Amino acid sequence: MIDLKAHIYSLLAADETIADLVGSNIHIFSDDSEQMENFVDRLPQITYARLALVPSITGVRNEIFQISAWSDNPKGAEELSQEIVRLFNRTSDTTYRACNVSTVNDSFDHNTKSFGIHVTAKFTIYDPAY
Amino acid sequence: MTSRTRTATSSFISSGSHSMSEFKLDQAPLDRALELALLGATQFVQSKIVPITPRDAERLPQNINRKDGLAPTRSTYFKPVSIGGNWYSGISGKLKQSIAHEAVSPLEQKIGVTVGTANAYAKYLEFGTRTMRPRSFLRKGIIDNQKGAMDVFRKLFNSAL
Repeated sequence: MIDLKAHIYSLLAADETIADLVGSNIHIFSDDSEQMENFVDRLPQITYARLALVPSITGVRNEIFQISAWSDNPKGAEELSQEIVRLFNRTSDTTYRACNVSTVNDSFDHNTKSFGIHVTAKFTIYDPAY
Repeated sequence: MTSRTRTATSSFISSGSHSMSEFKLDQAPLDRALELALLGATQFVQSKIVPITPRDAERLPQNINRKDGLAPTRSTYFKPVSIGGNWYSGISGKLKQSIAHEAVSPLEQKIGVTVGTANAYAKYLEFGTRTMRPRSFLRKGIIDNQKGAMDVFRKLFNSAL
């Protein structure tokens, strides 16, 4: 079964523009939220999580991911989110058949005064093993 | 073969007693059927979103033990409950109750959280915070039930026509 989470990480980490903006601050949201310690120190950063996995037909599935761009200023978050959209929207590669961005939403974390822009992306994957 | 087909088709049209100009589309019943079907599909999706609205089953609500050991007053706390000798605030269920839909236009419906207490924290659950992964219920509910909503829409539209 194709591990899309790892693939998304590799795509984000390999992109030079994103690397210039966030360095290695790309994280997968986990349930224990331990990695979210020192959140402010690591801004700007990218976090992402799977929202849903919808089987389509045999061997094909849709996975919905939320990729969030966090920054201490709205401009930085906007710039980072636009790079995420550029990287994923209307793309395909050998791992996934198609990716389309469906929504982009803003939020603000009052405790850390950080701005978050959340990109919802739908990946269609052809995976005979699924 | 092609010319024969063309000839047959043209003769069929010319020999027919009705021309296309005689057909008139009655838009009003079509619009009503579309509105009804859309409303039904929206209500279907809404009914699927409500059960998945987040509520952490493993985490107890706010502890409201009083220093004097007495039971908390019901006027201060919403339905306080006693578990193992400790008092906890009751679960209000405000977010679940706040899931609603409204018509943006006759052929456009919107599902979301109504303005109120729950509206303040609904987005944090939907999109996550620095310490919490997104616990999407609106997007997930819509995505997971697209096929079901289409079935409901199709069924209602056909029956309304």
